[in-house]
Amino acid sequence: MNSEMSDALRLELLNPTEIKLEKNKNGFLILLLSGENKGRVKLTRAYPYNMPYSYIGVYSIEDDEIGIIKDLSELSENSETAAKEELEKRYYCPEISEILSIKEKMGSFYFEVKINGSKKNFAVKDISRNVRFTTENFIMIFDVDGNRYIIPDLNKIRKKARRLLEPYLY
Amino acid sequence: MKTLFVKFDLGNDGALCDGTLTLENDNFIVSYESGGSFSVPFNGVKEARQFTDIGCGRLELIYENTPDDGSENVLLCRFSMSCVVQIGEFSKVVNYYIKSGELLEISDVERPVCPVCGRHLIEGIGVCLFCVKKGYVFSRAMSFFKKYLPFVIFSGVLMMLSNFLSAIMPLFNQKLLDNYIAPAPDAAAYFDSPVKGIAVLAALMGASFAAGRVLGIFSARISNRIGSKFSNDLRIMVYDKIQRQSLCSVSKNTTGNLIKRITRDTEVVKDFFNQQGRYLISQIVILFVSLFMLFKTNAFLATLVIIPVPLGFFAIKGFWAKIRIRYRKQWRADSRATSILHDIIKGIRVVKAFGNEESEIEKFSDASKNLADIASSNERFWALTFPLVGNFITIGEFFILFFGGKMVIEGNLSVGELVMFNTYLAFLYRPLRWMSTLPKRIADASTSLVKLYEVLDEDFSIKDAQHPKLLNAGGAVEFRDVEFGYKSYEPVLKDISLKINPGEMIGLVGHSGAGKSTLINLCMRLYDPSLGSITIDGTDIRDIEQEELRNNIGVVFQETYLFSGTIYDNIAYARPGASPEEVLTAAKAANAHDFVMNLPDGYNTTVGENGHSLSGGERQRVAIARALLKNPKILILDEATSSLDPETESKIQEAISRLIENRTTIAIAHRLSTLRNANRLIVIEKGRIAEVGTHKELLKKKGIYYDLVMAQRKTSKLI
Repeated sequence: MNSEMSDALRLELLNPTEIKLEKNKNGFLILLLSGENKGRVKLTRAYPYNMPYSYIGVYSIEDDEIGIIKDLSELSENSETAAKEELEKRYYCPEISEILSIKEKMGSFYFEVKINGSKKNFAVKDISRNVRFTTENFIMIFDVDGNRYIIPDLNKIRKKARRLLEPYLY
Repeated sequence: MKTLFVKFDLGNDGALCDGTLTLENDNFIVSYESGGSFSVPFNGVKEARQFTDIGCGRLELIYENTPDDGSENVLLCRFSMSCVVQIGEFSKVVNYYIKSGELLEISDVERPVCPVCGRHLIEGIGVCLFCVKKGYVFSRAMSFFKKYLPFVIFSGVLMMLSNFLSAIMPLFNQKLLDNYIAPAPDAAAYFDSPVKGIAVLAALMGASFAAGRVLGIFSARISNRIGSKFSNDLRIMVYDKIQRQSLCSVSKNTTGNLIKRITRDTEVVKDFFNQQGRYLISQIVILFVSLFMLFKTNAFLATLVIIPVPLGFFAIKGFWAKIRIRYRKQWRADSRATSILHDIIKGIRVVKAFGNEESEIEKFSDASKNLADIASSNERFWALTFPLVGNFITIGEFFILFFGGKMVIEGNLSVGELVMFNTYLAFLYRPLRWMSTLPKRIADASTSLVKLYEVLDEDFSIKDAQHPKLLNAGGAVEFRDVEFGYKSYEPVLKDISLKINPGEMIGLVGHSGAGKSTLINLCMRLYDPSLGSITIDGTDIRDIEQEELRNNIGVVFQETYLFSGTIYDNIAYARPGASPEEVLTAAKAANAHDFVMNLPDGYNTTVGENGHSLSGGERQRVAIARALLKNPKILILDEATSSLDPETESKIQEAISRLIENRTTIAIAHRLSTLRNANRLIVIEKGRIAEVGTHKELLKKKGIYYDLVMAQRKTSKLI
């Protein structure tokens, strides 16, 4: 293969020992790569659901890829904590721990669920598109505002909740 | 100074919270309901920028003289997608304030929430579906149906009469039995000979049967005719609305969904009003006549029959609710299996090329087995439950056999009365069964109605001005400080200011997704800019009637869509009524004439879905002929020559060069050589104008354009 092409195709895996991620005084994540300050960066998951802390893309604020961190656990403890905190903030996918009711009203579905122990209501339209099985037993629900909710393992929620959700899962 | 505020709902730690962001006395104040607040000065702010993350967003302030990497921005607040529109409005107003010093009101401060239940209102539906009474949904629909109401009532009355005539049939039977066939000792004989009596009764039965049928036929005929008219009205009303909606509103829905609105939902609504309305009248008549006759014949037996009815009624209702969930599950499994099949068969070349037949077979087998399991479980459920539940309501019949029989033997009831009683009993169950499915029919109709209201209530986001101006286009186009985003919180174009002179050819270049197509969409007014204005010859395009504006703009897209019809129809689409000669001239100039003449049917060749298929290059030339025939002052070419082989491209280039003569042209092309003749090239990068100049000037500049040209040269070398 042409050498320039292969350059373009090579995955830019960053060397974990050269990475230092820290927060600046304004609370933004700054990357130091081999001691060089790369400025503010944002992190993006390649496999957000099954590998949330592996293959993390590091991007500049202008969306240019700097490289990929294979696994956050390979970083120093401080960097790993900073990276995880940043990811938790960037991805807002609250986990549904319980489904209290799903009521259909004229083609729209009103969910009453529990998230972190507190009740939350949301509405879902076009349920066959907005309740998805992404991988086995992993469920994702999109509400009318564009919020996303997840149930990481359908088997781990209560039977009643499963029964409520089941008709919409196929 | 005015105060500006907006609510947000995520804390810095990502947990839900109630927060308010206020701009007051040139300070941003962020406060949390749970306590705590901080303020940030407005002075020195260059821009308030909203960033969208995954499932959430944040609002940051960018100050003057801070690094471009945003490391010294100030984070104001974080929010879930529920607040995104309001925060977007807030930042737009703040940015306008920074630029102009004028603080506007925010158009939508509050999130649309139901005042009764607090649930979020769904966009496009003006009412809370949870709190709205079903009556509202139907009473509103009555307004569409009003003009047909007298006919439906008339048809209902005919049906009622027809049912009434059927309902008196058992009465004749009883008389036949009790007075003539097996007369009781005290039975009154109305005729001197029993045979005469039987003949008269048989004739009466025949007459009422025939009259009942005739009335039934009339009723059905009226109902069918009204039904077709009503559904036609509804379809046209919905279709008309969809056609007039802006592209922005239409693209919110999938094609399938819109087609469903026009075909399926209108049909459900029609059936409900027309059929169920008619049934409602007749079933109630049957119910009351049967009840009256049962009680009149024997009140004791009638009570026995009625006792199990409520129980049976609710059992049937519950059974339907259960079976619906089961069948919905089956339907989903079925559509999943079908979509896998659809995928595999459509992509069979890919499957085979990658040798994945085995895994695809396995995938389908799993889905198919799942479907079979669900279907067989449903069948089992149906077979075991329905006979029990469905017939529970009729359990009274057995009481009648015993008690009724006993009464006949004891002489308290005649045989004729018992037979008549049983017949009316059968009559009674029909309306009861129909009523047990009524809630489902009401729910289906209200679902379809709400979906139709969604379409009908959609505001025209692109409206014509009250006193539109005429456009005498000379072809001068100007963009002034234009900003636009398909979602209000994600600007795709920012600070676009560009003046295009009449007759000038402008080439738009830039990476994919930079905003080039958006720019031309705005120029055609498929969308309106959120800030700034676009003028043609000094007139804001919002002041020009849309039809007038589009008459002055010709477009050739990358993907040319040919409608079903002849080639002539497709060219003349630009100007219906164009003479055959004009069409020929346009086709000739578009280099389309030669290939069309080679087709056996010439310009009468049918194209489109079921017609002759033209190649990409041929279709493109038809599209150019279409644009030429329109003879517009302003021409837009959106990737008109990509995906064509070099020879075809040269023919099209030639046609295009004829097309652009004396017209203002805005062209997008990925193949940069196409734009060599452009007077000016505009490089769009991340929604902004990054470079302006001729091909030579931009090459010299060694900026983005230079990189693009070099990258393309490299690729062509690779080939």
